[in-house]
Amino acid sequence: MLENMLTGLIYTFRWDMLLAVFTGVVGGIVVGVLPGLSTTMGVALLIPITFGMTPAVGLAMLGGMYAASVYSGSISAILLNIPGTSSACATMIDGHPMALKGEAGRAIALATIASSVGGNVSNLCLLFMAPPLALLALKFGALEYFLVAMFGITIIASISEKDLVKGLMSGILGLFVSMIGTHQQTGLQRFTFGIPALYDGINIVVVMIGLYSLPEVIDMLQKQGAEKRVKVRVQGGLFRQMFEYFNYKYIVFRSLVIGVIIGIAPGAGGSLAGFVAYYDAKRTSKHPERFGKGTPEGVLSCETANNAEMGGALIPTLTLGVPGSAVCAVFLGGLMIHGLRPGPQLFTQNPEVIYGFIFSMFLSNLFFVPLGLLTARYGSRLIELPAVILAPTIVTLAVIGTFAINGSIEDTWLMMIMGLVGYILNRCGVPREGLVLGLVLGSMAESELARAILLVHGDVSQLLIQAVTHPIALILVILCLLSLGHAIKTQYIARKAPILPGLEE
Amino acid sequence: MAARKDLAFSICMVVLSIVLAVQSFRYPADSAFFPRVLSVLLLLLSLLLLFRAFRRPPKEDRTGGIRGNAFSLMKNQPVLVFGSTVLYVVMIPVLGFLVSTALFIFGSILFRDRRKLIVAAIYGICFSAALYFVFHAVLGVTLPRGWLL
Repeated sequence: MLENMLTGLIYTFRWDMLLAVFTGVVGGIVVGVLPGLSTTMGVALLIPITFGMTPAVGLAMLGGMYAASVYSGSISAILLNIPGTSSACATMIDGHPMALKGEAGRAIALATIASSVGGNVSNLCLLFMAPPLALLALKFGALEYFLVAMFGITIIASISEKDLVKGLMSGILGLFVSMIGTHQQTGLQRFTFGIPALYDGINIVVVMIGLYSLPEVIDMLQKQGAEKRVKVRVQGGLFRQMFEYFNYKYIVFRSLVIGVIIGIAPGAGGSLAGFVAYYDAKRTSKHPERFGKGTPEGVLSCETANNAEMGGALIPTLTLGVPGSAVCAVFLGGLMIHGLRPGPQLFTQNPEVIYGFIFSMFLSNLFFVPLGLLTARYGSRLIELPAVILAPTIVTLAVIGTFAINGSIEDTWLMMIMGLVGYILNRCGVPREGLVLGLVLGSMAESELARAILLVHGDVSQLLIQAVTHPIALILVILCLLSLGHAIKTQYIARKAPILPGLEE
Repeated sequence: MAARKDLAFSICMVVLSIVLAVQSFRYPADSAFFPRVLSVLLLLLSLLLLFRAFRRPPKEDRTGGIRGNAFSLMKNQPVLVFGSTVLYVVMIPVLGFLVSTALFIFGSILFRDRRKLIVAAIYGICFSAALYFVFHAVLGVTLPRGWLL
């Protein structure tokens, strides 16, 4: 294992890897700073561009985009009171009041160092927890894999803060989309409705680009000019102000733990990690009344956690193929497009790819510090880029990106249909994440279930007995039940509990 | 508002799940176990949502964004975005990628902001050329060509 790590470490310092990380980080900062462009969308739109690169270089670029956009959403949250990405929602609560008090520089400096530390520590967890977990995954049988997929689907429902029923429906829709095309086991064509373009199934990345780009474009155009933008100037030495961060060791430690754990739980995203860490910091603080009025603890707790979530979320994504968040689901799509399958063999057969990627994430989490500070100081006019220019840019990227994947214009039409679906789901308050997760987990869930049934010679009762007698399976069943039970409890029994605001991605 | 949307959505989903169920039960049992179970589950969930939409009093809409001037079709952003994109994709095989992209960007900007004539022209040309360069020259994707380029 150590030898593999070393291979990856050396691979990371190739010039093309470094260039890829740098480019990804620059792109990520742009995506993050601009309100209306989400991390998920940035990663999805970048996948077709990485298509022609070697897998390690492509993944490094995607990782740079991911890390930098999660961080830089905080810049617009602090300066404009608009979250650049949804994971910065909690940063806004104290970040903007700080900026109004003339402490914009301090807030940005703290957010930057918090993101970098959060990202790097969680990446360490990824580096050391993923390989053993991948070994554990070797012990998984068909039934366990099926249950893992089920767990992924139940948890998306349970954290879909809007509505349990709608979350589950969205997940099932995703499962159906994954079934379109030729059935692996029997060769039967399902749900193709006689359309030849659907015979080979639907490309995951095409669906994701559609779901996450066109609805965002519409949203952006509808909201333009509607928000009152208060422009704040950044003052003071940004670099120097970063060191204040290390005075808050207790909050930092708690936020790191929260971020990584929420990350590992499949389905939960960065915005949730940010909110949980924020409310935890508030609850344990000696001065909870200062929260919401511009206290540095508020900013650094959620910025630490939302970047710490990233490394955590990648653990189940890379070892089990169960994405830890919507962004990771898109990431998984990128992995598959490069011909890589998540799981134990990924760590043994392609060490330079997987360890190269993990080490490149350390670089991403460092690169965005100077680049982000520069952007905050000199590039904040970027935020004012009008929606009328951004909108056609995104549409064009989505169109050419989906075309580039297979060189077929049918994929572009499919992308637009998915865009329409995404828009309708958004308007009806149905979380799109469910669909994405169902889509990613669909083929795994179905084929593993078929394999499990085959192994017990079609005797389903035998399967149920296995589910309670095999220790790993039993744990997974309990996890599924817990996540569903939790969802039912929070949404139907404790309805009066306040819903966290702005949790959308 | 939310309840009315739920109503419309759940009715659509009931219809969809029935279509999916009918399809699934037509397939041979070997290939249909999963879709059969799921289509029934989807139907049950849709009915639950439908039942809830009927029972719950209409309340304030929290899910939707800020509405544009929906009374005017020309200012209805969803219609505009999807309409212009359809037009754009139809144009690609005819005019070629480069020209149709430049026209699409130029048109989209100008349509929404008349004052940005020069910005629209420069950005349309530069951005589509840059995209063409990246995808064609760097990534080696064969982009559709048309009458012009």
